[in-house]
Amino acid sequence: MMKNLSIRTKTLFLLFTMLLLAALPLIAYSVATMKGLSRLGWDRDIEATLEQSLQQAATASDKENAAVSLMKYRQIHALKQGITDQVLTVSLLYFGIIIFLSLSAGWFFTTRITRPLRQLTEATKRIAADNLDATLINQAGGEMAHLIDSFNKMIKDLKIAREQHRLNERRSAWRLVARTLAHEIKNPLTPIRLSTERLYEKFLGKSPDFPEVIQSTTQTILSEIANLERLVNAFHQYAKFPDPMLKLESLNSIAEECTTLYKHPDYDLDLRLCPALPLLPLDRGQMRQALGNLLKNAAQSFEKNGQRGRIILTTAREDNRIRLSVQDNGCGISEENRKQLFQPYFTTKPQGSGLGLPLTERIVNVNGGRIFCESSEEKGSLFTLEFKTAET
Amino acid sequence: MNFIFSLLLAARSLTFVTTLLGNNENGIRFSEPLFLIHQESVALHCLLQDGMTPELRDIVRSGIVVPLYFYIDLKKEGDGQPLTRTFIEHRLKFDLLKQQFAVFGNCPPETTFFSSMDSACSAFCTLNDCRIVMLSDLSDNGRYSIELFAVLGRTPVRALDNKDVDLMYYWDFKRPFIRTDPLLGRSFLQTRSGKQP
Repeated sequence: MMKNLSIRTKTLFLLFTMLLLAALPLIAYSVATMKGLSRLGWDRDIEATLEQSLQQAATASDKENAAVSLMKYRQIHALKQGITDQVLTVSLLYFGIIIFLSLSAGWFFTTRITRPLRQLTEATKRIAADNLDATLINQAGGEMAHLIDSFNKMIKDLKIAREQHRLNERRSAWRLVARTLAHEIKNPLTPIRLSTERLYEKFLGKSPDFPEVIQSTTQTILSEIANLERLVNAFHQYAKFPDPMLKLESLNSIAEECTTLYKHPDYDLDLRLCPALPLLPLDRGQMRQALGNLLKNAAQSFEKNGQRGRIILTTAREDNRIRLSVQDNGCGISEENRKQLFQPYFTTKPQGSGLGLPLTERIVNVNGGRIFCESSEEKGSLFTLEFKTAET
Repeated sequence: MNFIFSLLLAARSLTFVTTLLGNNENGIRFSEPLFLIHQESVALHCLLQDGMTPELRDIVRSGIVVPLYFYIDLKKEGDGQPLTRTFIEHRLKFDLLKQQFAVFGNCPPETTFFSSMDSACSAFCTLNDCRIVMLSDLSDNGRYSIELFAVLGRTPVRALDNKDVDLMYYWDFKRPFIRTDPLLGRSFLQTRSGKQP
């Protein structure tokens, strides 16, 4: 149970226990004193004896002595309660003040200990939220100062490591782009080269079927040039991504519009909308394109599967998060492919550019959202777009 | 047993502390003051009621001298400082050998002896014809009020090797106090000897 208590509670509890232990002898002493006092001056027999002594005293001196004895006995009896109360009151006040001062000092010192710890906790949370500008101002001393220094150094190192990681990622992305481009350009170049060589040979040999050859080779060359153009256009679109024109839009309305566009007799498309969703700042055109990509992918996943396809488009709200999900019962995505899903130029389709999902991710990101994918092979996939709203 | 005893003592002390810090009243009060004109001066007559609690009577019976001080301020309406301040001291002592009570007062300076505690207490708590101001010091249209309070003093106790004990404890450290409604100076000046204004 103790381990769940905060440092402050533990320290104050310890202080209080120590004070109580220190005060126990004082309490025992006070109790003994009070007991002794309570026995004083209440015995009527003693008083009667003293009165008798006064009456029976023969000389003036004896009378005086007896009177003083009786007077003292009565004075102790009369003052006993007052003295007891005053001693107890002073003891109680003293004890109260000591407890108050000790607990205040405990509070003060534990605050000095827990404040840097609290700052460290907050800074750790900020780091977890990807904010590396969480350097702490070191105002503590002793071990706390070392801890904060180490923490600040760790953040600095982490920042450098992250920067290095980003640089590496960028380099490998460029390498991948270069490799993909080389591959994509090389593919059409081979038929173009072969066609050109065949054309040249037929021309030199003055072949009688030269007109037919020129027709077929020209078609091949033009077709490959068209492929190259399509590739270049796709790259261009991805590279020259325009800034979003954000307006308050209804996600339900965008979903409805896309459903109309992508309805097809080969599969079922269900729409399950959450009523009264708040409006979100979105670029309607870009969002339509992103959602269209997801619906198109879902529709293509049925081709490999064979069973009747079903797409469920859902909007939902959870606290301040709004979700739009596209679920299909298609062929699904293998775990290995899922890791590269949003990587540019990665595709499993023969005619795919590998830019559809990266483009979708980018659109969602620039519109202030995030995209997740869950999938299992042969069962289907679920893509979720999540947006935050200021409302709670 | 010790623990229960200490709990009881703590509870008693707490009650005592809360009494001290709490209610400002302790049941001891002054009767309505009477003003008399004697030989061109204003005299005050007043009684401190319930001032001698049973505990204080025990103190008296034990032979401890009980000092009681009265402070009488005459204030003129509109003035911050009192016009006059009168200090009166009473002392009550029981003589064990003679079995009599002695009340000493400084206004006028005299000692009176009593055989009963009640009579002695009554004389001890009574302010009788205490002159507070000369009529010539009052103005016709001035409005005057009296503020009166009493305190018990510290006294040496023989049983404690003559160490002083503050007797205000027996009044819960609260002073009985009274302030009269303002009276016109004219009402004193038009009255003559032995009459109430």
